[in-house]
Amino acid sequence: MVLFINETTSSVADFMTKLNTFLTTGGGGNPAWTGENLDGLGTLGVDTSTGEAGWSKAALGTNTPDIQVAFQWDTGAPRYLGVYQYDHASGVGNYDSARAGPWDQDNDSGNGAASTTDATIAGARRVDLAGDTPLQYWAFVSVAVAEAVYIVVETTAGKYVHFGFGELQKFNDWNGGSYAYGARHTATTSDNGTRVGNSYLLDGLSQDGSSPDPTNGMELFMATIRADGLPLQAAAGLYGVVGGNQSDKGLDRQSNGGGVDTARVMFVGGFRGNQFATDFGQALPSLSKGFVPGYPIAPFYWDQAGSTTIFGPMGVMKDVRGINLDQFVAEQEVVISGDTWVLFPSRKRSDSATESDTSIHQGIMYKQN
Amino acid sequence: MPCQIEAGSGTARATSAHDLMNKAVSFRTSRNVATVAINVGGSAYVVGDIINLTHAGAHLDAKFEVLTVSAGAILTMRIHSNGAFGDRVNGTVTISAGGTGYTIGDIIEFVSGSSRCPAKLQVDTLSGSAVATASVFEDLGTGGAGVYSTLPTYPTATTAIGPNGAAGTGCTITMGGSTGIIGTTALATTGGTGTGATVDITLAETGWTVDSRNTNDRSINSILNEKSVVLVGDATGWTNKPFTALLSGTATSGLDTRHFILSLALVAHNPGLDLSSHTGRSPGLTDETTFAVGGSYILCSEDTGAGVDEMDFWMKVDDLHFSMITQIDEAAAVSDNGIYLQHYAGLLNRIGTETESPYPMYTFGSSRAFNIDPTVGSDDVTSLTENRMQGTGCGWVWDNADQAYKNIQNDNASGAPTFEEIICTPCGRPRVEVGATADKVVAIGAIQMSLSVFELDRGSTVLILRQIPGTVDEFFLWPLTFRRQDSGTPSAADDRLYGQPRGVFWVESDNGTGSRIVNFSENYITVAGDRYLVFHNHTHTKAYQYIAWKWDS
Repeated sequence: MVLFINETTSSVADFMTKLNTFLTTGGGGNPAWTGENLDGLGTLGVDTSTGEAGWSKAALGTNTPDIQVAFQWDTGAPRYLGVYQYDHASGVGNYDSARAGPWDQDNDSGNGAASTTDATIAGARRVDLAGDTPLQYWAFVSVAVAEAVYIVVETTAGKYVHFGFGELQKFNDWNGGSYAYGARHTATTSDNGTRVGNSYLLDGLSQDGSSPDPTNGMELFMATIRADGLPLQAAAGLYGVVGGNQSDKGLDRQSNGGGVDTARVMFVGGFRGNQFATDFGQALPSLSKGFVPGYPIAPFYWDQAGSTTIFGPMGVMKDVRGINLDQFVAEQEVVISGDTWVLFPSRKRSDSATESDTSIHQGIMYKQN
Repeated sequence: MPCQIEAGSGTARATSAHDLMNKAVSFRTSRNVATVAINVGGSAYVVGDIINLTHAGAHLDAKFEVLTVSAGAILTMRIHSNGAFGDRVNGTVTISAGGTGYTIGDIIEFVSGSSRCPAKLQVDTLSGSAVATASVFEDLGTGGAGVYSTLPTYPTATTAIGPNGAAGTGCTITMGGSTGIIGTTALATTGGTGTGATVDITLAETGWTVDSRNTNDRSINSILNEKSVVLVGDATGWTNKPFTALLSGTATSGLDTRHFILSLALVAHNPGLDLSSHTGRSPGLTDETTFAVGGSYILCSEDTGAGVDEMDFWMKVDDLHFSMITQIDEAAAVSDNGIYLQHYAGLLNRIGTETESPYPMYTFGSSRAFNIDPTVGSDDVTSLTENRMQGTGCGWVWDNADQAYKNIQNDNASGAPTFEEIICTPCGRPRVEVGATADKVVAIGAIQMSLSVFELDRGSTVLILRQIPGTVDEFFLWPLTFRRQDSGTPSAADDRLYGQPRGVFWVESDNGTGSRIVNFSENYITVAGDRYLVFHNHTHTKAYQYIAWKWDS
């Protein structure tokens, strides 16, 4: 029974193939995700010839739709991995190979580029693997209470990217809770941890900003959460994006399946810009005191139309925490009450306020189940 | 966790500050009804009935709420109040030896027997300066005093413990009997709309003991019998025990007499040393007769010339921690008009092992000042979630690294709300670091709850936090955490989490439409199958001014 893995990789195709093997390992205590039939001919989970991948699994939460995600990279110029979330009404195992690609599946969230071209994939939700030579990856899986897959890739020495998918460990039984996220960082600055033009996990800080942040269109990079029937949500709405104070939240792609593209709502909080982050994220850990103040990642639903109401927290990301890396190094393991957690920087750990392409001490810790 | 409610009506509500202290001490040192089951269901009961279990040794009755009935016979119940039961000395008071030097009104305490709270008598008549007759004291109307596991050996020696200046010695007492401890099977009950129900119970120790100090001898404001008591919790499984002290007093403002109780947290207790001389205690005591602003005060009903109002109270206790809320306006017709004051003392839920967090001791009283009108909102009176006061006071937590009590303060009301170093989340405003040397690990984001949802200046808020949507909307209960962040650059040496108050949460008052819930206080909410009792902060009923107590009864 293995719910975490760490492997070296030689290429994007090799990485995705290995990830597929791990995720689709069946049986109790294993990840047991369903590899989607990507070509209709039995190529399950990953198709390196087309640069596609797709996995799905039934959610455990009440009123939580199946988790259905897909990925796309440019086989001719591998670098960016597009991240897609969709919601076929029949759930697991219904990826439609006849469609144009991952972005074209039924009830797509609207994020992730409608393209197989690397430069275009870069312009929407994705994760930047920095080329075709990712060094190694980790995958951490939760199969109890809430299904979740968290993936960390060391793209070049000391630099990491995070992406993942799963379901929130929800509070109450609102409709929704499955999610997917990529990552966006800014290579030219040291303050990746607090830039609004970045996005990590479910990230309530992301929004349009000023150069080098996107001045518009940041909603296209945001994590998405499947949600419907929320107060003041459009009747046909199926998704929210996770971000900050941004009025433009974009549309989903329900037209893929004959529906109408519908406006998305806004979830705030999450990993950054969150009450729990401000309450506990500044606290410096101390190994000598055994103090590891990991804080929960919990999104809230913000009724921006009314602007004066916020609901939640709507749930938490299971088995993952934000953490200040002041006393830690990347990939460090700590044991808390018998559980092993692995700590990573959001981008690259640094003690310098001027070194570019770093996230200083902002960190994410994952539990090895 | 044992609980006790005396509110709305009934003779067990607190009639004075001294009475409130006595009831708190008795509740903490007595045994409580841990479980109850129906023995005979009786007849004519209805769901919601509150039935009472009393006994000669009951300083506070146990009460049970009827949950289900069948043709008027009770099927199931739950505990509404756990009661305070004990084997207490009672009966004829025989003066075996009268001693010398006594005065009528002197209070004497038994020194033999094994007890969590020794019995007290009051001298009624003298023969010369020898005690001629005496009667039980602080018996809460039952005629039985103290709570014993082994009754005194008679004749028992006594020691004079009040009023101030009492100097009698040598009196020995023989009591006629004791109440015995209440039985456990087929016990008759009273109250409710029916009759004939009997119950089976089990009893458990509540877990606190008077630590050789329960006196009535302090002279404050020309009153010579002000009380002081120190209690220690069993803290089963922990090496370091919680010591808490309660000291009564009065202050005069014109023709008004203001009654209060100071709560002290102690990391150790020497019964032979004045409380004011103890190191490792929370502030509020300058010397044995002088209170200081900045302590943790429990304000009680004020006497404006017509006596004091009876006070409703709710108590919750385990062997680590004590919580109490009082409502001091007897005329409050609805709970929105109630004036609720909070008190907490004991060990926090620690974050870490006992080695890492040896003494997460704290105390909180709603007021930092004692000579104020308890019915008027001010910058001196706050709640455990709000923690807004001018200067220091109200809440104090033991910082073991610094070996000192630190003030918990979300906002110093002397000026505009600012960042504070030691706060109680989620309402406190933590420091978010900015600047060239910053860690840049967090940012405020679109919504900072502590700015937008919790209004530390008691004004209107920017945002309303609504219930979590679902088939039935659900409240979110925010756990409270005391945390410290250095005033300058974050420091691993100074950053710490002290712990979490037990069973107390912040909750938004949302009626499901974004408006506050009218008369929310004293109501229960149910979250994940557990009940929580809600109260507002003093006189403040804005949506962000509520706490929820986990209610186990």
